[in-house]
Amino acid sequence: MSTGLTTGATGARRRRGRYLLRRLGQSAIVLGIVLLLQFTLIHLAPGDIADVIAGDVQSDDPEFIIQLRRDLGLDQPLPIQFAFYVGRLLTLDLGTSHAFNMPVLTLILDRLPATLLLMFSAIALAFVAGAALGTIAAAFRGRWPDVLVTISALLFYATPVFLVGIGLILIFTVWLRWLPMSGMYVTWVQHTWWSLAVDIARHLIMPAVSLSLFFVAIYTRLMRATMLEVLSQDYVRTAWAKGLSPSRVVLRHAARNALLPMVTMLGLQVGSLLGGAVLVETVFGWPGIGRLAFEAVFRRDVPLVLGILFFSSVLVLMVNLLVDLLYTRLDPRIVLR
Amino acid sequence: MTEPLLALSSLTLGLRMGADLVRGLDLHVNRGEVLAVVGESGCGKSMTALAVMGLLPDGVTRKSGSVTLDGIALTSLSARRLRAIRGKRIAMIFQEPMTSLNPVLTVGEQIAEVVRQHEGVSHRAARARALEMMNRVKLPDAARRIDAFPHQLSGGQRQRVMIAAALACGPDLIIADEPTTALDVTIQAEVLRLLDELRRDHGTALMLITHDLGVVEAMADRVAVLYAGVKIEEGRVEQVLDGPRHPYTRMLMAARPDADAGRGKRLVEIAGSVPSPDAMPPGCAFAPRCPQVKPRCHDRPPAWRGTAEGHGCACVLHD
Ligand SMILES: Nc1ncnc2c1ncn2[C@@H]1O[C@H](COP(=O)(O)OP(=O)(O)OP(=O)(O)O)[C@@H](O)[C@H]1O
Ligand SMILES: [Mg+2]
Repeated sequence: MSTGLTTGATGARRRRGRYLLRRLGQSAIVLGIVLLLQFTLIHLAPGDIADVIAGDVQSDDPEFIIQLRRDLGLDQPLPIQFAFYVGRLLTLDLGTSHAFNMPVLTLILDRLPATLLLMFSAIALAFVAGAALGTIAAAFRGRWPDVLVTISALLFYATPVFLVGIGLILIFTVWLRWLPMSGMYVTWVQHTWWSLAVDIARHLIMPAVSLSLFFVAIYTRLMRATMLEVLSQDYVRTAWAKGLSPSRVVLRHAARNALLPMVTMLGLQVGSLLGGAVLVETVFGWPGIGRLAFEAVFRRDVPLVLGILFFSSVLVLMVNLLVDLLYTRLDPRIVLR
Repeated sequence: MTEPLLALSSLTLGLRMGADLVRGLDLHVNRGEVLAVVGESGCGKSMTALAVMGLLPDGVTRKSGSVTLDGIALTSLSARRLRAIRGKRIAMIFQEPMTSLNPVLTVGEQIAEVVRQHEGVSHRAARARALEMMNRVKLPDAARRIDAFPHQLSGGQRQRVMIAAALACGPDLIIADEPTTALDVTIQAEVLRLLDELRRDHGTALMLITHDLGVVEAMADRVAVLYAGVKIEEGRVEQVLDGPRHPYTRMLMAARPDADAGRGKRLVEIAGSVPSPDAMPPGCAFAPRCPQVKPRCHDRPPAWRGTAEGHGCACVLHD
């Protein structure tokens, strides 16, 4: 018999380990391909970093530029440049940012926590709000709570992130004066741990809400549709037939099943979430990777752009791996292979 | 005669602002007895069962009539009081054991939750009851299977789980809607025998919806025959099977491949088709297919004629 019953806990753990290894291998391959694409794209653009630096120091001496190219390894053939680049990545040597004149790794690690905090808050908010709103809409299908939720979701979906950001600033900073407009914490006061946490939270609210609204809309619509489907399943009828209370039927029997597609969506959305972060961080002066990426591209800082892309890809792949593992926990039918 | 456990009186079910699916149905189940409900596909058996549970699908409503359990009018009960009866005093077993269990909850949880809902006992006590029920429905290796998920069980085992959940609170009545139709022929009899055995032990009444006249003969005390949403014959099993009075029942009997080897055989379709709910003839619904049809059959629906022995039939031949 090959049911999950016959294999004990150790078997399951071993299978999970093997699965993890295989998924890590797959992720590494994907990462390699992503890096290659990124590298190619960057080098397809006309002009290179030597031109930029020469421009910065206002030199048009061709000798200087050739020397610069040689120093930067830009005279090597592209495949070799790529191999060097990957080799350096493996030792976490991401090079030096020309624009900031600092190691790329330092720059990124400095900004990473802020972005992770922002992304995590936004996606958590989107997931929880979307699941709740979608459940409410489905449970009250066709009645006013459903209509209200559906219209709101449509609004959230259609409003551009920067508009939401500016709107929030106008309301909560300019008009109500409740929330700080930009930055991550105020720098001119002496913080205790607690006051720092509160201060960061206050600064986080508007960026996180702006970044999440679009995803709230997506999760709400997905949750509503899935809940409607799940609520018509036979096992939900069985649950009603047992005399369970509506909250038990909806939450325990239906929502649990409806959350499965939501979790899948979670992994798929990390990429666009990062894209949204660039905008939101710029609007709110949030000191994260997104704004850094914006500046790096603007100033054609190739090592920094590549470094950020590398970190983003790793982030997306890791989140997807986590989501898959989470999924196997949530859905007992999935057998790891 | 004592009051029946379950009584349906002139129950009419239909689409909201549309055709009637079940018309003026009178039906009763006495304490501890087995009532079989038979009839062709689409005649309204499942709708009747769901109406008793108060679980009619969206779009289908009860237009008139009432359902009474032990003197309580279920049809005028608040949602909350009806929930206290569902699962506790009336339990239902559905046709599809594959889809009727929740895939993400263990079977133990799905049995235990009925007990917790209705008896307010601790998690632990409910789990102990679930295990006891799983042993009682003879699930092999119950102590381990209690933490299994539905997909890890076979169809027959799942239906045993459904039976365990249905019996967990010791209901007065079980409604089983073709409980074995989806199962392998070889285990159908086994599961039915189990259901019968357990309900006998508990003194539970059973409303058994089936296509199988062999099952009716083996398990039921009384049988009601439905045709196009109308009850056309009802009586004790031996009365109806040995002396069917309605031409439709007779044709059903004749269509049985072999009266002796009838077990396991489904009703064989009779020539012609059941009129659709939105094109019901004004007279007897069976008239268009009836071999003994009379001109007056087309005028108005035939009246119900009972006998003192409780064998009734709706046909002008018995007026
Ligand atoms: N959800 C629904 N909405 C509207 N009409 C329905 C719905 N489900 C079933 N019906 C209709 O109700 C009528 C009775 O259906 P019902 O399921 O009670 O038949 P049944 O006797 O149980 O048949 P079967 O033997 O196939 O299970 C059929 O005409 C069917 O088309
Ligand atoms: Mg049916």
